[in-house]
Amino acid sequence: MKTAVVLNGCSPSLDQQIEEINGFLSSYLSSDFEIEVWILTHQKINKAELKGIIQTDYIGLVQTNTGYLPEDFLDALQRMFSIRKPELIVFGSSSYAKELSARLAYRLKGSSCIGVNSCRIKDGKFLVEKEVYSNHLTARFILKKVPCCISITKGFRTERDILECLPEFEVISSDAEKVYSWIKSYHSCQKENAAGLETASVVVAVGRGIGCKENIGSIAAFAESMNAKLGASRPVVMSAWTEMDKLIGASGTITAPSVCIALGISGAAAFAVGIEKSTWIVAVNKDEKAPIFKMADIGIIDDYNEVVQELTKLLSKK
Amino acid sequence: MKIAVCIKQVPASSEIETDQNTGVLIRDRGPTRINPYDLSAIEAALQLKEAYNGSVTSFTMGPKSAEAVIAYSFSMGADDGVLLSDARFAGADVYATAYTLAQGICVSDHYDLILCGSQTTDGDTGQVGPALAEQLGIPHIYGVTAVDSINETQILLTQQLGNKNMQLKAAMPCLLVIHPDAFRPRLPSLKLKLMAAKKEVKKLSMQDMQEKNILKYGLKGSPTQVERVFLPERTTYRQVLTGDGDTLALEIYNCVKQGRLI
Amino acid sequence: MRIEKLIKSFERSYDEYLEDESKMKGTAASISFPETKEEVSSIIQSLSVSRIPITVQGGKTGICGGAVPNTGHIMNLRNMSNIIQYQEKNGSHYVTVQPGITIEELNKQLYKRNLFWPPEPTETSATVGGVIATKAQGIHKCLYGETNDYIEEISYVDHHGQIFTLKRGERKFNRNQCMLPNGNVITLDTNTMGIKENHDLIDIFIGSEGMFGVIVEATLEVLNRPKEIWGIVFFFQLASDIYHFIENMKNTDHQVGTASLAAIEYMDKTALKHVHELKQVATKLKDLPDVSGETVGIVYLEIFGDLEADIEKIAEKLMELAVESVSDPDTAWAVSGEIEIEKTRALRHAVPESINVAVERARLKDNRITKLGTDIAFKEKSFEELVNCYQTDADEAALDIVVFGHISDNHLHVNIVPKSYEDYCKGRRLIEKWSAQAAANRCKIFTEHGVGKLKKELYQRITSKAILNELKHLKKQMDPIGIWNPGNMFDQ
Repeated sequence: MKTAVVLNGCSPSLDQQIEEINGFLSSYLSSDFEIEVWILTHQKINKAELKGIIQTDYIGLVQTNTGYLPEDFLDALQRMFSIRKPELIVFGSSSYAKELSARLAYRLKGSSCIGVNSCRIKDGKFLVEKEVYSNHLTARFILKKVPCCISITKGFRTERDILECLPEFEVISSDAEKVYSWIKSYHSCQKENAAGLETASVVVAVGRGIGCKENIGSIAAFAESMNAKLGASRPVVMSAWTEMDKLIGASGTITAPSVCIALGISGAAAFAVGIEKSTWIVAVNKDEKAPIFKMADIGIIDDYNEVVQELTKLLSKK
Repeated sequence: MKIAVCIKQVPASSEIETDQNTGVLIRDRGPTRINPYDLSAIEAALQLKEAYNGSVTSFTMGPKSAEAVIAYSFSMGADDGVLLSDARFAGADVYATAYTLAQGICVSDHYDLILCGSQTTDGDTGQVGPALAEQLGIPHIYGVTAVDSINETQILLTQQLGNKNMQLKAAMPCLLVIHPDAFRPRLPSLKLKLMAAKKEVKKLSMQDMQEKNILKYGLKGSPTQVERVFLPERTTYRQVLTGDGDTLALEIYNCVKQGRLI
Repeated sequence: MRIEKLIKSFERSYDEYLEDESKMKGTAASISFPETKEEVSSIIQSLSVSRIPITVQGGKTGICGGAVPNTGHIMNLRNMSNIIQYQEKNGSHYVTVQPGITIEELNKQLYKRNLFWPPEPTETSATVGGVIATKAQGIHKCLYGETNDYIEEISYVDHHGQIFTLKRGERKFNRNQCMLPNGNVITLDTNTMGIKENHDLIDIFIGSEGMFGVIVEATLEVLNRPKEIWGIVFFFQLASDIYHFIENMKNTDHQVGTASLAAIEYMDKTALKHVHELKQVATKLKDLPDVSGETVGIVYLEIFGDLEADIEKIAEKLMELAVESVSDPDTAWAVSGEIEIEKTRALRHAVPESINVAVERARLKDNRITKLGTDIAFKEKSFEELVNCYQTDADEAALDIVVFGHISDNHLHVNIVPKSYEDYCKGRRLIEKWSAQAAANRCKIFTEHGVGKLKKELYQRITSKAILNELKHLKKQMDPIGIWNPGNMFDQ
């Protein structure tokens, strides 16, 4: 299956895009897939930036007029499609990528699926899977019409092999004639506040079992080291060990992270509500009968401190 | 100014039952609700209506019971509602849904703005908005957090993409996908809710559309097909471990890493 | 499991079990988390030998300190949270549960069977055991009446560790006497106590705050869920309008076909202010639109029925009444269905919850501060008179109060949010004053929160000597070695 991977070369996150796409490709694409890479950009691309890219024989550098406009990108993709004619077009996981995937499929009269977490060819059919119903169920779709445009789900990672030798880029110039009449101006600024507790993908939650206020500092540092948000149970917040906006539970934030690490938390009902939507819960508590163990995927009956110290070491190695 | 909002009826609970034997989704059981993300789109439409003296029409495609979501939009303040309902629309994927909505919107009126929610809580992850814009041939603006101003031909918007805010001007008509955090939906008003029960929902079937080719609608018009819906195999395992912190920490670290979680 | 493993000596990591929502803090020497009634039994057998007092805990959501230990052993029932069985008899439905099941979990399971248990204390992490111990009723009392009516059978463990079952209708007082399941005959002067001559023994346990034994199982009567439910919130900008509305509403019959009013709740301006603060951090409240700053109070109603048309008729009538009292029906909120109504219920529940948070904050400055709230059903006054009385007294004492609660029997919860310990002391005196007034009017003063430890002094002061003596005598007969929940209600 002739496959094109689309990268947004205008985005500062090119590195992450390569990493997640590599993660996806290495998990699901076999030798059935003949892969090429398209980089859409209005800037110059330094070859060094692409060192970690997947093994490919073709890299197309597609010039766009703007660095931001989906309509411009779609036109470029359409042009590219007419030259290269891939059967499968793979996009990353950003909202931008999702939009392009859905719209391109519509323009090319193909089929699309976004949020894809696996794909394969079976009996000549192209099958993709994605999570539906708030991750409670998985749906498997047959994409009947080519080209199939898919956008992958978030969270793919891989250790990268650095490729010493990349194929020469083919530069496909932009259609300078094209005027996007309905876009009048475009201006962007960095959004100020980063994701909060409610949308965090990793949460470290602490309960009274951590002992005293003084222990919060080192746990906060641990949380930060793994890009996690710190949360706390009600007794901790109410003892003023940490701020009210860290409160997790019925009277505070209801979180839904991929990973929740609960330290010294007994797991009373009012707290449990706040983390039960987590994909994966690790609980560390000395009390083996603590209700938190009923909801944990991994429960550790031990002092939280040892586990945190060891994890910190492992993470720093990474 | 005329505003159309596209809304959807979804199962109320995310704990969906599947058939024990076949793994197939049991759809027609259990309570339903209006897709919560669509509430933000309705709210945005109502704020625009209030600010620019417009009218709001809600559109949904579904069985007769989907009238309930139109009634809900009435109770929030929508002026009209259109239900696109026909046995031949059944089984539609994103593509065919967008096609049908576009047909329904075109035969109903000329709208200056089309608003959609960012995603639904059941099936798709927000593809109908982009596909609908393509079908209508109008600009698609995703993640709209504010409508700053509107004049006769232009709309000035703020858009949030990833961790960036952007401002742009676009020509109307256009399609806006509303950012769910930006417009906190109002609750239905008692007066409107009581009136909603008596208000008529306009119904359109395939016969009312411009395009009457059956192959364009429903399952037949869908380039994707659901093969199966099933409970995901839990890749994680539930267990309680005892032992010393060092080895357990390694265990967690490995699990977390394998699961691509951190 | 061996008894040494069941009873754990107390250590710091269990500190959270020394407190409940009253914000009182106690001490204990040991703690247990039994999982079965047999475990409860063997723990008690072991403790009663040395007469170690036992404080029983459920969800620790009580606001009078009933679950706060003052010595001895804590028996926490959080791990006894299973549903044991469902039964159907003569068209009625029953569910037998362990006492540690939360209201939330119970409702979730019952929902699947289209059933519900009428007591609705809004705090869903409260446990069934706690509801029975305090006789909590919550917002649906105006439609469904007393909690007792929905408790069919209990199993309890006595001070010897023996398990007994008590079924409604099985053991009743006769000529002031009743035989316990263990064969002992107890006496109680029903006349002095102001209870029926043939009072049911099970009702002695309900609302007794664990003074007579620990409930290890309860069979609850559950009802078919109404097919349709609505929640309506009316906003008022003048106090006189809200009083006018409430009086008119009280004088109107709201029964239409299958439908009736199921909750009638009041929240004042300060209550809304506290909720607004909590809303900044609470996900559950984020779906709620902001309430206009000009609002002086709101009335929250729920209507239950099997036909939407019946409910609509009630809603229309309410709308007319609201218009007459200058409340704009365009801005009134109306939701329907189990999912949507969670939003308005979250608003109602956020009131006590946000006050608890405010009290906790005050307590950080001075740890003598605890929760201060009334539980008086003041039927003798009109709603307006009552609220004015509370407010005038509070203003005179320069105290911040929050008034909210059940409108139907003037059962308002007045909470005092102290800024200092001085405020706290003034607040205590105010509550004593109001309680004395209510007692003089023969009103109920301890309606659904219990007495616990926080209101013990108050309870002893305003309860007649004769009743107190009867209660102490009853306690002696039921718990001769005095191990159950020491310090609750009255001192031995």
